[in-house]
Amino acid sequence: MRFNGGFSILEVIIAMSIAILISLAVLKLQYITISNSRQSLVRQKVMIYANSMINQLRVVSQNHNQTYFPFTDNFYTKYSDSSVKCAQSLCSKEEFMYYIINEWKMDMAFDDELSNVNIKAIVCHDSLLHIPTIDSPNCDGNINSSLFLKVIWDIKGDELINKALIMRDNYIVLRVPAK
Amino acid sequence: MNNKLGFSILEFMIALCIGATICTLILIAYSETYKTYLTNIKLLTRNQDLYLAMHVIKNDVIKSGKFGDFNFHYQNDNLYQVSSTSSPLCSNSKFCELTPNGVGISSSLSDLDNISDVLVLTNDSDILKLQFGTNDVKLIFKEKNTSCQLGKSCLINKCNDEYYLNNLYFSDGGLDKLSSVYMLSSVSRTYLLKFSDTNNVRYDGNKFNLKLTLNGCPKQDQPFIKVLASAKLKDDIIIPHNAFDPDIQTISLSNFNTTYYFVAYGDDDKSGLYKVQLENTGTLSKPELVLDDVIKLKVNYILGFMKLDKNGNKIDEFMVCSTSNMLANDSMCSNGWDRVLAAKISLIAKHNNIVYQTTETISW
Repeated sequence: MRFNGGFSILEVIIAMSIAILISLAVLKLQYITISNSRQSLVRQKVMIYANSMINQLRVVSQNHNQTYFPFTDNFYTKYSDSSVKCAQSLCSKEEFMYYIINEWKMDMAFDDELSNVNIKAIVCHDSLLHIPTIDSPNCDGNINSSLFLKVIWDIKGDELINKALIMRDNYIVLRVPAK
Repeated sequence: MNNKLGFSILEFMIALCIGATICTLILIAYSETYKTYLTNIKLLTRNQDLYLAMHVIKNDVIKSGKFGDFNFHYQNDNLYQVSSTSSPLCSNSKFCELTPNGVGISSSLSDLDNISDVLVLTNDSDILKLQFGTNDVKLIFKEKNTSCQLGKSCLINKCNDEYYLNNLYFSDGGLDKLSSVYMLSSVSRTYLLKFSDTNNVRYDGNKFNLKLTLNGCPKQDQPFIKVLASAKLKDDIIIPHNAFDPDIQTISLSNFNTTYYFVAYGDDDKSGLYKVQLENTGTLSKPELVLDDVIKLKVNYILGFMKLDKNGNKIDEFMVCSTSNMLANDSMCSNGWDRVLAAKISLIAKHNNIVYQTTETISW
């Protein structure tokens, strides 16, 4: 600043730029806070659903002679238009697996508290406990290995929040206990 | 700007405007974050409350059908018998006996068992009924069978060529000593014992003593248990292990418990999840609020079936049934209580027009 003079245009622009940068940083921090808080909510809900699913899968796998039940869920989506209906009608073990997994995915898809989340879930064999991505469940399908339940989610239509997540802790991988 | 130091009014106004705009932006951002934080906290709290309520139910569901070493999930109810006085305190009410052909868990759509005349039950919600044993204690005196003929006070006494359980001593392991209903169980059989009193004549201050016979024979107006010996007893032979039904080596005594969970309107006309349970006097307790704002309790069951294929191999089959399916006469699920492998329980709550839901599947 010159003696007795006002601010030059350059000084004003620099000052404003600094102010905008600080504001943007503050905003980004807000997004991170919101997204992490949302993340823990979604995680809590998904965990409860996963726990319920594990207990259903245990019922089916309980009486099986093999160490792990050979099963492949082909739908890495919210839910499939399954024709298998086991409500009030008898189903084989494999049909029943498809049915309960589909019902489980539908329950999550129609849960109001998860309405703003894209969820993908699968029950599959995996020998090396690969982490799922939104595009692939990363299951190697080795039927001599454990059955795993994998769920991953993204906040719907909010790239900023999804990018802002510090540790993209947006998945669950649980082993289905075999008997 | 003039030659004097300091800002002109115009500069000051502009600086103030910029400052105010930035502050407003920060305030708006903060306020939005705070609002989101509050909403999330509310959601988390309500979900946690619902999950805790579910946990309370789950604890009882896991216990259902278990009485000491006897477990209805691995047995069948032909091994269940009732032995009662002629006028027991816990009389003909449905909560005083096990649900027929069941495994300790059942549900209904309406108040068939008259569980509450105080509260108005909500429509379209199930009533969950759980039956289980609490605080079981093992038999502590296993006397050797030496000449247990008529008139002796042995564990098993002979009466007219038949054998009866006689003097059973249990430790004071936290039993409700003033109960009118007990479950006496071994791995092979379970008996519901119903008394006409709640006084503690069976407790001597140190041990719990069930005197079920008079001089070795069944007492008039008292519960008694006939022993089915797989090998004929000889009076001078030490009782061999596992030779009897019930198996005396695994006998234990527990309090018989029936608990209901249901959704009803409270005094403030708000609905909530309530619990009632069987008291030692043979009546049901007053409804106890587990969680407010609950609007619905739903129970679905996974039933197991077994068939043989053409090669004679066993094949497991499964079916899902709702409470109404189980109660309907024309359904494949009809009265399939003894086939229940798992129960899927859903709790739905509503608070400030937001619906919360949690589902848990429990298997045995």
